[in-house]
Amino acid sequence: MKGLLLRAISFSFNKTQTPFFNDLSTSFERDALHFIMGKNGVGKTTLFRILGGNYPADSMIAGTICIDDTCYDLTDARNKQQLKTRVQLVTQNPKDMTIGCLTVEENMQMASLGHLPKFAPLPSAKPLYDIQKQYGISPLMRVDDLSGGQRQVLAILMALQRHCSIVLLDEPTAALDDKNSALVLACIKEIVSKGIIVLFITHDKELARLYDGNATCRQITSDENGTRCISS
Amino acid sequence: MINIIANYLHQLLLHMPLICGTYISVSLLKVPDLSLESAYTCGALFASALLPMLPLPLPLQLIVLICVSLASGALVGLLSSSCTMFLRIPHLLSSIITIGIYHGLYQLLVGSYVATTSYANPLACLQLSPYYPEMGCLLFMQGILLVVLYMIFKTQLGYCFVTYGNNASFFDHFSISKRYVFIMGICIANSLAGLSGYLFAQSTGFAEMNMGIGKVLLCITALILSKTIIPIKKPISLMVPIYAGLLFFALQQLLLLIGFNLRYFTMIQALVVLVIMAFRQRNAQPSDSLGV
Repeated sequence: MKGLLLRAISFSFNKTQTPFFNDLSTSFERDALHFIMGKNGVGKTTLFRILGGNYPADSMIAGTICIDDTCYDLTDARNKQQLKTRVQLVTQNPKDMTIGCLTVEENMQMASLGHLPKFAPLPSAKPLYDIQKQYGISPLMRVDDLSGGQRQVLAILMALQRHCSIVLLDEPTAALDDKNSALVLACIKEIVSKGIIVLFITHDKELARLYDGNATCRQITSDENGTRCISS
Repeated sequence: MINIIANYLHQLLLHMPLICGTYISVSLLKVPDLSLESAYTCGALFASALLPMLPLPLPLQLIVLICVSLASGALVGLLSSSCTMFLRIPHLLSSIITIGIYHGLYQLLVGSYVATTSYANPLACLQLSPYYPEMGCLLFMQGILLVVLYMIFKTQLGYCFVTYGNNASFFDHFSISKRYVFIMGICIANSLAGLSGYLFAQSTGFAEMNMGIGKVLLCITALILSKTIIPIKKPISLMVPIYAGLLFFALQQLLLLIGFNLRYFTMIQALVVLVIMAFRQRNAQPSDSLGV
């Protein structure tokens, strides 16, 4: 299967707690944007943490995550690092992911640095899109001078510099007005069309309607025991 | 007049590595790093103590002593930054712990005072004038130092130093080692402080355990003066520490010229910082970055 497959994922924060996810299985195909919805605290961000290999070391986890034809057994701690390289999280606040005092181009270059930066010039940024033409962002602009939407677009494009297969967006439009949200959605549509799997947490049902590309809506709910499940 | 200019230049050249080191550590931390004072003393004491043990020609002796002072300073930085990164101790406390540990090490290994006046001065190995025997060597060394720093600031690590101070969470998002960036930055900054300590000790003919006290205040005053009088928009620029040194020692010489007693100069530095920070606060400018 081409896409993201979650197989029998079980997760609890510690040994004594009831499972947060129990035998969770679902899939996310390419060529569509997947909206993830649900109440606060229902486990949307926890799901993203599991996908991105950012779950706490003392948590109990089992199951398999398959990205295209490569599967990662979550009981093997070495796979945490592998997941981190293949999955990139973009947070609600783009200021966390960008450097205000540097230019757009320098930010893109910084995003492609290795684990240990060297005494060598910055690497060239991957020429992804014509960001000036498509989003009105000049590569020489200081990031502090960008609008909120432009900064969020930059954060998403910076995530793509890491050669990832999956982009997880945690409410990227929550703090944006309609115009800036539309800019971010246009950027997301572009990267979905390039074959990157995009999962998008939102509370805004209108946003799913505004998106004019192929999309799915998944709901995370909690049963009476506190175990979460996700609609297919 | 020539004496005043020569004295000005001499002080500037002796302190330039320290100011550059402070600039790097402030870029990283956004607050002054107290461990620089220990690194300054460490470079001075260890290099001065090694001088009598080096039966080498002066230029070779100088190269060895420079390396020793840089390494001594870097070791101080390694201890303080490792405490911060691996033990998760706030950096101010790490610096205080480092100062305490090295205070004991100095007394144990080299004593609290080392005199170098009875040995040939390696800084006089490149004499331009018999009146100012150290000037040629200092000018040559600082030239090399500034070229090296200019190149470092243009590298991936140079950009990381700026980024660390601006937004440290960036590194977590992009799986870049925050520990490595921080430890490298603090080690480079402290090694420069160690070099400055050695140059000062060699020039004055002695090194002693308390010679680092007040050096961070000196550098912070210089950097804040520089950023206030000549604002530079680039996130990291070698011109900031250069202007800082030029302005600070110009102020010092000016005060000497008008007959000011330099025993109160530390107080003047503190007052300059206080006035500038109060002014920034009144004008609602961010003060966390010290304007540096």
